[in-house]
Amino acid sequence: MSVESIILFGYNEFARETARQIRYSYRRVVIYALNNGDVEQAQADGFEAHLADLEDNWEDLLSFDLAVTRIICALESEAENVFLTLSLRDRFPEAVIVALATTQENASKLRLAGANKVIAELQTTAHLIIERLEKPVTTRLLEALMDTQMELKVVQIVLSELSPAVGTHINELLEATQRDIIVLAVVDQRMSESFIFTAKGYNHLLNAGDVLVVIGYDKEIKAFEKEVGGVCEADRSHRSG
Amino acid sequence: MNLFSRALVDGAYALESSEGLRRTRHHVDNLMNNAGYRYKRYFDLFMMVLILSSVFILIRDVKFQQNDFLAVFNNYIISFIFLIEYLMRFWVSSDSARIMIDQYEKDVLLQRNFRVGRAVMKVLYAKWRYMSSLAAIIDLLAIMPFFHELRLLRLFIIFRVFKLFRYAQNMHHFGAILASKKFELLTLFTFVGLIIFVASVMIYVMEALNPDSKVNTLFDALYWSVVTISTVGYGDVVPVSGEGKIVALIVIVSGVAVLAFATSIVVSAFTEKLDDIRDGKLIQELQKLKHIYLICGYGTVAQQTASKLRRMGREVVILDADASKIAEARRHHDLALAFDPASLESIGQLGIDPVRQIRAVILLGDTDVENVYTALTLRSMNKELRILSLLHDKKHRRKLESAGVDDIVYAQELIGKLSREYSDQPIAFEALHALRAEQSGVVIDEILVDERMARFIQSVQDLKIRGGRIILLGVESRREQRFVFNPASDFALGEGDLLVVIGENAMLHEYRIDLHKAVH
Repeated sequence: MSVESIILFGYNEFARETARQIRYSYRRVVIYALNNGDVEQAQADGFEAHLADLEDNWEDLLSFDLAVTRIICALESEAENVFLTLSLRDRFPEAVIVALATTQENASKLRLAGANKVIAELQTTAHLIIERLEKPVTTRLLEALMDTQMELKVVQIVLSELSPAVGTHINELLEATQRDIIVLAVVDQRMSESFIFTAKGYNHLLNAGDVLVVIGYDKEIKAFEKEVGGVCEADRSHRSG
Repeated sequence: MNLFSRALVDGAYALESSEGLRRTRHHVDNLMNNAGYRYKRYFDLFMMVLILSSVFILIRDVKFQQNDFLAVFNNYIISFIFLIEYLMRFWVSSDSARIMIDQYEKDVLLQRNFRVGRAVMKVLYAKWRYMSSLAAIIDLLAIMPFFHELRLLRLFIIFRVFKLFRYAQNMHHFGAILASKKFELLTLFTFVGLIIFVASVMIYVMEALNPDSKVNTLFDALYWSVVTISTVGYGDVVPVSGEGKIVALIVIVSGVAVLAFATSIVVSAFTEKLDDIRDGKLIQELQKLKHIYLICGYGTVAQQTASKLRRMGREVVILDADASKIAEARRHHDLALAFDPASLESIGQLGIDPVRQIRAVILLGDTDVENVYTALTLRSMNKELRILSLLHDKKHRRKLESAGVDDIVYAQELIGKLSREYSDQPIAFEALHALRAEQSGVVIDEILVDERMARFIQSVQDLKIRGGRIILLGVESRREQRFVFNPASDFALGEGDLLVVIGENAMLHEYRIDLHKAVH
């Protein structure tokens, strides 16, 4: 199911950039900030923004279908961000929460508080710097893959019950398909949630519900998707721009 | 210009233009005087061994019959090696040809006759200045083999020990520290000299006529004064008269004061110079490194970046004008120096060769202003240097580009992209990032098709990658100047192309080796 809405808590410089990145990709992007200044700034930037507090008044959020909504916690104060993540997890156990942390130490706290994914700003920045210096071409490629505007992209395809690929091995599937795509990894949702990179788990047997991580051009991916009878998640290229 | 002058000038130009001579001279100069030169360490060690063996032979000679070979070795072979060293130092101490040419060109410019006498005087003066330096005098005395002929003069072999100062860097530091307190030490020695003089005269006057006293001569008085003021007090010579004992009391009290004063001078000099000494040592280490990542500006991002690079086995050097930040960096075991990276003079002091030694510069200053300024400084120093900078405010991006920064990292934007990507497709995101973080054993890597490989590998087919466990994600093609995703097997490869491959770490390592083996 495609993600339709994003709820972004906070409006610091990282949150602002995140908002800018996602503004055209989703049907609804709502920003909740803890002070009037940030709310006004977000509204001036053209976003739907509301004032929030850390009390447990989450009535507003009940209007969202959390199955197709992602919550991003990016409050300025680390302590408030942890508190917010914990409160949201407590109130909405099913929600997918992404949280931004400055340091690795805070990242662990946010994970404990229940965030599905934590991005540690300092570590990530250091990593990005080193990656650019050590593997410049790879970095450019990976950044391009992350850009929804580019033709070359990475997508995840879920194999349905009826998929002809179910019951075959990855290597058979790769040999059978004539498409100009690369299957990077498979996630066997039944066994575990960890990755089986095709470069490693060459003989993995595909099951319904497995998720294929595929890199390729838009057209080729769509054709491959039809061939394997999968469902491409989060294909929002028609909405972008 | 007469024939003699013409011959001198021609000779000077000939020497100056000789490439071989210049290279030899440069090499000798480095060997003698450049602490950062890699062979100097071995040369110093060799000389130290010679000196110590020379002293050992002298000590052995006191009670044992001198072995002929040892005598020849000590008197002639070592002396000969020292002589060669002295001559080499003499040669590189000043550039006579250059001095001659400078004088000639100056005279030509001012349209007057070449003053050959003045030029020769300048050359001789430069050499004399070297010869009259303390180090050169010690070198010269250490050569003389005739010392060994007379027993007392043999002690002059100790001059060879003084030569050790030349080769041990720590001795240099010790000398430099004492030199920094020249005024205080001079004051102290004057004070001590005066007290010794007054005390010697007084004790002589008080005791010399006393038949029970051992102070009979002025030398006895001087000996007693020095032994007492140094607080050593052997007790072999002691005052016996009441007046003499009063003098002794004064000298003893002065001795304690002198000792305390001397200790405090040396200790304070060491404390003040400790950072300089440590920096000097670090700079020496730095000059030996290659492929350095030079991080300018130390903060939290720098700390993370440095520690990650260090874990990857890369050489990292950190510069920041703020000494407290450098102290913090050193706590994390980083090679860090309190030098302003935005000052050409301070970069010059490091003596780094940007082309040979620096792999990339990473600007991580607290503000964009700081990073732009540092970028300009470094760019003015070298055009080829690879510079990456962190961007704090995106409106300054153009300024960093204009300052010559090759790569700009705007963390906020990239982290924004990551958040979006995860919200979109968490599984694809995790897969890509597991690859990037190299945590799963499967990595994404780059292989450069070098000149040798290009001769044997003409197309993707030759890579023998298909059907294997290595995925060729694409090729950064030099010919097409773009990234070609998943190229067909007949896609032509050439020198300078970069293959982006995915595979298990060990498998990729083996594949690289196989590729090179296939080439052979």
